[in-house]
Amino acid sequence: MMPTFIIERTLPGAGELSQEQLREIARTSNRVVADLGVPYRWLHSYVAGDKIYCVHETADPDIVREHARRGGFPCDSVTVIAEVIGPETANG
Amino acid sequence: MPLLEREGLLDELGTRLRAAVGGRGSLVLLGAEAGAGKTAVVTEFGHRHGQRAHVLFGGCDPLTTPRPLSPLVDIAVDPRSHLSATFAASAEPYELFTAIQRRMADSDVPLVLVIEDVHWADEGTLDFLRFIGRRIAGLPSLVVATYRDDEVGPRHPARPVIGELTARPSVRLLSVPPLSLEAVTELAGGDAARAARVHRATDGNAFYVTEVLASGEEVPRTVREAVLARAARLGDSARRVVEVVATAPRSLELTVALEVAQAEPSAADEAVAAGVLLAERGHLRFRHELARGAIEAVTPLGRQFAWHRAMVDLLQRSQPDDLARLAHHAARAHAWDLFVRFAPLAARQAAERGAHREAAQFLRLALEREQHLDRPTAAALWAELAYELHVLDLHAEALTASERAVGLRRELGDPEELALALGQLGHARFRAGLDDQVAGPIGECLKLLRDLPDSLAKARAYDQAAMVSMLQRHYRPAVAAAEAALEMARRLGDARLEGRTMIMLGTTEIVMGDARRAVGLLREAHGIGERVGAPDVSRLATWMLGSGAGEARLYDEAEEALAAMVASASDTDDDSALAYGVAWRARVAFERGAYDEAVRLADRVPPRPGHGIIGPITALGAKGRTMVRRGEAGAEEVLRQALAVSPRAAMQYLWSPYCGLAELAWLEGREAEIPELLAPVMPQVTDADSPWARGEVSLWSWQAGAMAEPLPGSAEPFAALVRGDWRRSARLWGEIGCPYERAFALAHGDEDAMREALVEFRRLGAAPAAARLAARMRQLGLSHLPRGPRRVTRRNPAQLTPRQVEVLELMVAGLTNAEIAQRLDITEKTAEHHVSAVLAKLGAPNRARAVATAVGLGLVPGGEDLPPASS
Repeated sequence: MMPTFIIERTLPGAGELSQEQLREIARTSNRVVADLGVPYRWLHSYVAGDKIYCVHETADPDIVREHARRGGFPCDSVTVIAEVIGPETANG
Repeated sequence: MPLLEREGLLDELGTRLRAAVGGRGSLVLLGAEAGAGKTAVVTEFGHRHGQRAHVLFGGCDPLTTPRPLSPLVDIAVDPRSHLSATFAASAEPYELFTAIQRRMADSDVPLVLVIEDVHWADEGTLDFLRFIGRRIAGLPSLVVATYRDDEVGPRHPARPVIGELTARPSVRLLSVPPLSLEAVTELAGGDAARAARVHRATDGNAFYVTEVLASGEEVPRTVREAVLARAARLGDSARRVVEVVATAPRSLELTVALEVAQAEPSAADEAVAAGVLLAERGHLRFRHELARGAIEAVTPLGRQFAWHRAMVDLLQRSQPDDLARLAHHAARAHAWDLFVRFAPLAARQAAERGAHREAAQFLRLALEREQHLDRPTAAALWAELAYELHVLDLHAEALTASERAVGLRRELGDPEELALALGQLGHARFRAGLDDQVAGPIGECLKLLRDLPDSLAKARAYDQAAMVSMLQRHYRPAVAAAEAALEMARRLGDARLEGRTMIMLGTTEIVMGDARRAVGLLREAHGIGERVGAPDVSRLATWMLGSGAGEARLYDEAEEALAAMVASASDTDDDSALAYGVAWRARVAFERGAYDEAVRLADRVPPRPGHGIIGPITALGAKGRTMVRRGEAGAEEVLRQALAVSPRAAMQYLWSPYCGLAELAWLEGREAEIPELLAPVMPQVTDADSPWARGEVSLWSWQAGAMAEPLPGSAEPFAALVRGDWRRSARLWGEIGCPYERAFALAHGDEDAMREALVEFRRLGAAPAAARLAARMRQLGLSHLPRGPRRVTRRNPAQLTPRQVEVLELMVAGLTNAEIAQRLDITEKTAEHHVSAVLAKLGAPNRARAVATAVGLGLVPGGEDLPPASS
């Protein structure tokens, strides 16, 4: 199974971006993903304050960094997600 | 494309080549931003002077981890260099460096070495630049090194090398300026409006200007688009060739490119005709790294993986020894299973060439992909990484690596390997200054070894344990482990290990046991190293003999070995051995009462962040103690500096500076403070078996009234005095050759002895001890105290610094400023500055008068047989 990564990007004023600007960013990201030519899934992102936290799925952290390089996105850290937990984890 | 506005640079290089032909070589550092045209300048220079010089080119690569000494390998491949045999035969980088130096000195046709892209240089190549930069002035050669100055920031590894080199008169820093608007206008065929737009968009960067003008479009947004515009016209097959060439740093063999791209030669011709690629000497390359980067950035990652993977497959068949290149392509193909196979081999290859930084980097990268390694391999690589990091003096990281190796070995359960890893962990903790945490792993290591059958691995683990115990000054465990290792190494017939274990045994004996026997052992180990071709064993033997005999106060043996250690360290640019060797010479000079010499030597070993600690601690300790004995201001501060270099360093480095603080307190009548001053080092001293440390600590504690008997195992000259036998103590110190200690013992004797001590203290310039003794003699009612020689004849009356005395000696010998500069390894300007300071202090209007005054005052020896000095 391919690992999932959480990517931290610092983008001053990210939380203030308009819908139009966010659409533009998403289009760029989609285009880069399509051009990579390797298995790659962008799952979703949280836009918050001066940060964007993205969740991507691909084989290697280097590919995540290449996606950022080609799209011109900042990329402060790439960390593999070990586990996803929630309130229901308490029941298991 | 004509080369514009580069005549000034080419003239300067031409002038330097002519000077080189005349025997005055130089090193030119050519820095500029990417695309400014550095390569064009050096290429043109090569064309112009190809008739009168052999211009040899070598370059550094932007590999994941640079290939060790790659520019020198390029140069050696050129038949005109006559170096290929040397490169095939030698593994040691410094042998290669000296071979190149010899070749440069002996060549009938002057050699010009052009080393390109130093911003990508490996550690070995930087060492070469340092090496040749220090020697180029006397060679009939020119070295030109190019680099991107905007990429060599303050933390870049090339920065200190460039900084150090530019201080030298034989090194020149040049840069390639941007093209002017006029030049761009000429290139744009006189179209002034277009030229203005292009000039503005490119800032005159030669590569951007060329690309933008050639793309035929109105100023494209970026150079990337300009490059892509050229590439866009290519057919499928030519496009594949371009993408394949983009996978290779610098250039790619034409045959390899065509085979990987599965293309006909016509495809390469098409790419060359379109101006995307250049073909030369059977290789294809981009006109610039920026262009390569542009193509790489638009090639889908999946295709890149495929090209890199195809490169790996081809190289494995055609060039299986080029491991750095294989590792690079495997990493770029994300073929981690292959990468982790190549990287350790590439690391070993790099380490053999002395490129330890690269070796460590390959190992780090492999271990980052630990999930692709089986666990025994991972454990072995962590151990190898720890070793490389020791060499690099990166102790904190080495400690982590050693811990990982031990952790994995525990899981794996092979006791022999676990013992070896534990020994290494003990050593790592010692080197990191965690002296109190060494016993655990070493004890466990020895316990494991007891139950194991003999083997080479077991012998190595014993050797490791012996070294750690020796360094900690634990006599019995060190001897037991070293003897076990030595016996096993002999029985198993491993001469190299035999030499190493003899060094451990010899060093243990020299600092804690039978020092005379030890000298023989260390000399024998040195001989074994020479006989079996293991220069590292011989060098280690010399190192241990120098510092060990110094600690044992066998000064003749120490000075001979230290001189050899310093000489070989200078030849090989081994800065840590150089620092420690010079520091120990300072310590020996201090103990023998040669105080000026001690300070002069100690000042050559200042503490430097990121470098080894033991040289500066030793040097500052010797300097501080000298200042204490001469009663100079600031002595305590220097001793505190010595202790602050590494407060948790081992006992063997710290006891002497601590005793210096005790001695200062005693001289100033603050005896009561001595126990507190020695308290930090006391537990370590009583835990260790060092007779000299025990002896001196006993002496000062006794002087403070805090100890009645010497610590057991104290060195006899100290112990005798503490027991009250001042005669024996003085005689022993006289035999050893420590005049101050001898006078100190005599000062505890009868009236005649005290009188002799007073004369001796005064002769040495030990004013505080002399004053203290004179006061005591007066108290005792002794009259007619001997007078010391007048201060003016004892110390140099002109108040010259040691450096100025050195300069003065060279002036007396008739050397010019330039010659003085060369001799003292300083710039001519600095030499000039010293000379004027000397003239001022001597009140001399010119050199001739200064020399006459100096000889007249007896500031410098001789004078009769000197050539007449000119002013």
